[in-house]
Amino acid sequence: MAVAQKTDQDTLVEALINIAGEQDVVTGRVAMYAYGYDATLLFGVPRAVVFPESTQEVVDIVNYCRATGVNIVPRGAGTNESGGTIPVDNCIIMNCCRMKKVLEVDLDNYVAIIEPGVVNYDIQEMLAKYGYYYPPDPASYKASTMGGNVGECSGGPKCFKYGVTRDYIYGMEFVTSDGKVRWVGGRDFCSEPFYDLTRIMCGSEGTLGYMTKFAIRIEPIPAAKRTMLAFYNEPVDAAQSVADIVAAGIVPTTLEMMDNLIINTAEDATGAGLPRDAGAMLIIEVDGPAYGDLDDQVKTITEVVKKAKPKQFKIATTAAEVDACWLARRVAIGSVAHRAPSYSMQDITVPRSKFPQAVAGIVQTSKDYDLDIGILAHAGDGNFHPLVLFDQRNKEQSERVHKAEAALVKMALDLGGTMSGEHGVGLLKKPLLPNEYEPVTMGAFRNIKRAFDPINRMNPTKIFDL
Amino acid sequence: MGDILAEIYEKLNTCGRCGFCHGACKTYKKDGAEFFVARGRVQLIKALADGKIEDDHDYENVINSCLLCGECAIACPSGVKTHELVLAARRDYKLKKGIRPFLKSLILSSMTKPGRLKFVFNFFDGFGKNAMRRLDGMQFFRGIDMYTMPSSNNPFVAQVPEVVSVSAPKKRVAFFVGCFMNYAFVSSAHSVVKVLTKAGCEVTVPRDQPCCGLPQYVYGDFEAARAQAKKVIATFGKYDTVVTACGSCASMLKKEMVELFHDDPSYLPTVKAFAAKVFEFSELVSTLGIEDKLHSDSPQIVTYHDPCHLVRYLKVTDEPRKLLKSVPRLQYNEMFEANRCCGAAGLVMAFYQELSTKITADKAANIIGSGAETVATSCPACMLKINSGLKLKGSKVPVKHVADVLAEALRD
Amino acid sequence: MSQIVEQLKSVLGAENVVTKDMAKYLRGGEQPAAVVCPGTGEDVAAIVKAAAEAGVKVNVGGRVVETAGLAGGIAVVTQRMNQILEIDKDNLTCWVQPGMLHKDFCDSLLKEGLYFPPEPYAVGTSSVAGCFGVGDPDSKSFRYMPPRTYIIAYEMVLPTGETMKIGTKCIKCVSGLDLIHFISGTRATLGILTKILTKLLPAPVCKSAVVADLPNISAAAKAFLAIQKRRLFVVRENAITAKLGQNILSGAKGAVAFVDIEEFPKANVEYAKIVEAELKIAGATTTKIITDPKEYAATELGWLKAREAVNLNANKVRFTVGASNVVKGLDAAQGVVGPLNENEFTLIEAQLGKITVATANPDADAVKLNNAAMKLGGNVSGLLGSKLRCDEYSDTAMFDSITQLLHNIRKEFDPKGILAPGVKF
Repeated sequence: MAVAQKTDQDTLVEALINIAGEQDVVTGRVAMYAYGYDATLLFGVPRAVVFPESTQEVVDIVNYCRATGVNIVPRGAGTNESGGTIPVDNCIIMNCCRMKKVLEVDLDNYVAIIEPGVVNYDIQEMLAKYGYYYPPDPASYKASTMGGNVGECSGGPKCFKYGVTRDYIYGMEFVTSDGKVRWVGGRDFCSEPFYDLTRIMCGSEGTLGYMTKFAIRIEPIPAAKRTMLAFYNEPVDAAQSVADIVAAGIVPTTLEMMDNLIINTAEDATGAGLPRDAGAMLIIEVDGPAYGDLDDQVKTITEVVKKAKPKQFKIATTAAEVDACWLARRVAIGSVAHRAPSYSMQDITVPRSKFPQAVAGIVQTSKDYDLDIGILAHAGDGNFHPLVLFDQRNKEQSERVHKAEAALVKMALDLGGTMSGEHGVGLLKKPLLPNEYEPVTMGAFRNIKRAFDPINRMNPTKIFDL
Repeated sequence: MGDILAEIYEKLNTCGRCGFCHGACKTYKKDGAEFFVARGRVQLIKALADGKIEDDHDYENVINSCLLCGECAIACPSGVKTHELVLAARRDYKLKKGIRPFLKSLILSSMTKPGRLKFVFNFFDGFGKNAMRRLDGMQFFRGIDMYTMPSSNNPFVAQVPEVVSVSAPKKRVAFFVGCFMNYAFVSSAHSVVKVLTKAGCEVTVPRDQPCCGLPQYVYGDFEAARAQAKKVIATFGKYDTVVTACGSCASMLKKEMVELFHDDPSYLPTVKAFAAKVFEFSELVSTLGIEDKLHSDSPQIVTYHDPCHLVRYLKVTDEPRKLLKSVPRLQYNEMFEANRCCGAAGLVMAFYQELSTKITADKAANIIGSGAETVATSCPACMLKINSGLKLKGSKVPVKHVADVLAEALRD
Repeated sequence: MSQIVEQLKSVLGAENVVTKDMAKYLRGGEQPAAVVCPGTGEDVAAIVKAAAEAGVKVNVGGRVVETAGLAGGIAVVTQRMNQILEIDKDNLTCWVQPGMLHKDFCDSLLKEGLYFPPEPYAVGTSSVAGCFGVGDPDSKSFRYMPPRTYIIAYEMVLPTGETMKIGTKCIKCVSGLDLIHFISGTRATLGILTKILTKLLPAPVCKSAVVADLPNISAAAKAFLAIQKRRLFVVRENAITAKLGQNILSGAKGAVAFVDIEEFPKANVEYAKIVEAELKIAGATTTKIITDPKEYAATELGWLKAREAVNLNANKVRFTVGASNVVKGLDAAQGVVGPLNENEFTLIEAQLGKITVATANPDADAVKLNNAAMKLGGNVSGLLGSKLRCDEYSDTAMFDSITQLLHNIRKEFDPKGILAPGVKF
């Protein structure tokens, strides 16, 4: 395909200003540097950043970029762990942060209509006043935009019971590279126009189109919740509890696990009195109607956990105790910074029953490559976030980290898992994607991309090359 | 790479770019610009250290627009204290380029010279304020309500005797008034004296009231800040107890001043000894047992705003609330996000007024949402900014110092 | 044409290629060249490959194949591929062949203490693949989410004859584009499912149902709204007019409410009491709380039969109005199709805000009903709804661009256009 000649930078900026207004176009070396990174270690430089404030502005920008051969990289808060928002060659960043209106909240019909720049936390905060919430809450929910959440199909600690972002999007409006606007789906599950276009857009990382509005499903906050915290000698024991809880017919909202290394870094950071010799820590949370069933479930869980001979087991009875249970988990990721300046967070996911093997595999990888690897896991989903600690400035060590990453992915795939449970592929894991999928499946992905964006203008080179 | 940036480089490198600070950073919330968020500031300071960007005007805006409120440090899972790193970057910038623009430079230097400072506040009170009042639509100048901005020709120190004595004093305290109170919030300063004397303290108001040095310190002019610190200690060092009712001054005198001299072993002990006897107003008063002296005939609903310097720098949060709650018939309503910055942040409110005004609007909405009839706080800068924010929203909720609320409940 | 039939006979064995008395396998007026019954994924791949080479149309069904556009083509009946291949209790997953009857699948799993929530589209004939092929959000989807949630991996023969594999036993997966869940509702236009991995849940600890006979369907809708206002959410919250309602509660005169509760034991008892009370307040003449497993199964089967009758009836319009607007939606429907009690059927799935009414003029009434639904914040379901909505806004450009996108996708997968010829956008 012939690429149109690069437009002069001034013409580009002028055109963008004409469309979006001077306030909403940013250029300059300092600002462009700030849009060059995300939560990964990758980097790129865009030609300009534009903040459209309406669907029409998005259409105009897309039309201009199509005509002049400029690529479009979408971006929300830039908290993704996959390099999905890293600028590519000859691109502008289209940032949704200023399209942040909540257009409608319809509590009685369990739906809200929002723009992509709304921050997940802002919806939660607004809905909480009415006793409602939007279930998916990725760890970055205080920062990340809904546009980003949908683009990456974010998960979070509640997935095991409540599912992921995909399950809570009723419909959306999006603009494709041909400049056309489509509203697909509606305010319920039944309004997709034949193909479930909303679903394929969820988690497409902006490669199919730029999303401009969402209808999201909202729910009343469950009447009651119980939080428990267990410390075990070995991660395997925690895995046994997880399996037994599920086998007992209980679907907890949360099953969060941390290993010894993270328990120790968290203890370094908080001094909360976590047992430093514990091999694993598990946070268990159940919720539901308030008719006493939860107490029965807590009883069952207590028995199940006792079977695995935990070092400690606590049932939180006050809000402060619940908070204390979560403290270590909240600081977990950052607390490793006290050990090493850089970390690489993986997102491998294995079938729940392979949990012990996956832990063993991570420990082995840590030995093989002589790297500290801490383990965080959404244990109910088999979703691991191994944190590989290193120093970015140490070239040789960084090389080893890359090898360890590939080894972890291979281990997960060998166990019948996937390389990404909730972070997405972006640029970071793109080279490894063909390890997970056969050429036929990769071809099917390309079919979809071609159907939406045959000119490859929207977030090109992400996930796979067309 | 400058020496200062080299010193903090490890800390800059600790930022994992996770972006969790986006939810905490008020300057980011305004329009979602990555270069106005803690992560952006840290990455750009690092980029400067790495020689990847120039310290141009854009860069200056990046570091100078920070509120130094410290909220990002609490949100940061990696424990990066961006406000400290920004401070270092400002210091680095000052050493390389001096302080610009002209007006900021004028204000900072004028604060160290009482005569000129008087001029600055008088400008608002005299011709400037009147001229602006006459112009339609100029009630709000840079987000500050000109009509109701208090300013006095006659500073507080000129209105009170040097020593306000009581019979059989429980304690002798020296009152560090602070520029804002001395020149603008005179009535609150009177309230402070009233509360302290009613509580049985003999209050000394030294004639010489130097600037605490915080404004110079936060824009990286450590030399001027050190000079101010020495002046303060020269005047106030001789008293056993020093009290200030300005959250920012309190933080400077108790905390930053010690950090300012961390590399001066000869003077550091003096500073430490001084810092140990400085108390923030509510900290001191809550130990004096004034609860049984408080009276009130009419019910009122009050909420409290935490100044950044108290909540995150000095960690004083319970004392002012406890004092307010001890007033009879006072219903205390906690507002949403009481501990978040009001947008004043020293000179940010003057030079990034649009940014600052939007942040204040959030604060004002939270105050109105709390249903309070009065909002109390412990810092005159917050008082000024919040008052403007409330007026802009058409609210009549008055902003008072905690001392004002207490003083009203203490009968003569 | 006979050439491909011979070819298929040699691959599948003559006994699995039917060319006479095909009627029992077919629905619709057109006549395919053969009905074939593959036994494996490889068989399906061979069939599709042969058809693609010969340029012959192919459609697929579990027991019955839709013949529209299939004249001279191949009807693939997957009834021989009807086995559960693997139940994985630890991971709550199950590999199943596409032709297993949906109802049998659910029943077999329940015996193992496992639960596959989606309801059969047509309880007598629907297969597991049909469940995902149709992808219809059933009346349990308010609680359990639509069927798409329950497919987590599959093997599918593409229109080119290649076999595509995607998905794992992990319930979370975002690597690559989400073709896993996207497949739900594609009606075999992108490929033929040959092996499906379903997500399962632990079987509910406790099940009960409340059935009631109410004077009319609006009374049921009012009771349901009252239940929702109490923040009480059940599994199904359905009501159907008496004619089909007989399946659930024989002797019913007005409208039959069928409320399904799957909570833990204590909540289950409380919920049932509240639901029954609200139904009585709304004027129920008969109410019954069903807890006996056998009686429950019989009642549920009655509902599924009623659902089948509704789903297989082409003369209907289905629209949504939002959970809180069902009463108003019914009023609007009455204005369009006449008194609802005299109608062939009227069905509400209240938590989903979904109404299905029988009508002699579905095309004309859909326009009117969509108009009424839009005033209540809803619309007619599916592609038709998208079209009517765009028409209402005089925005044909948007609808054209939506159908164009559908065509693009289909064409990328099936450039020769051989699969599911009856499906038109």
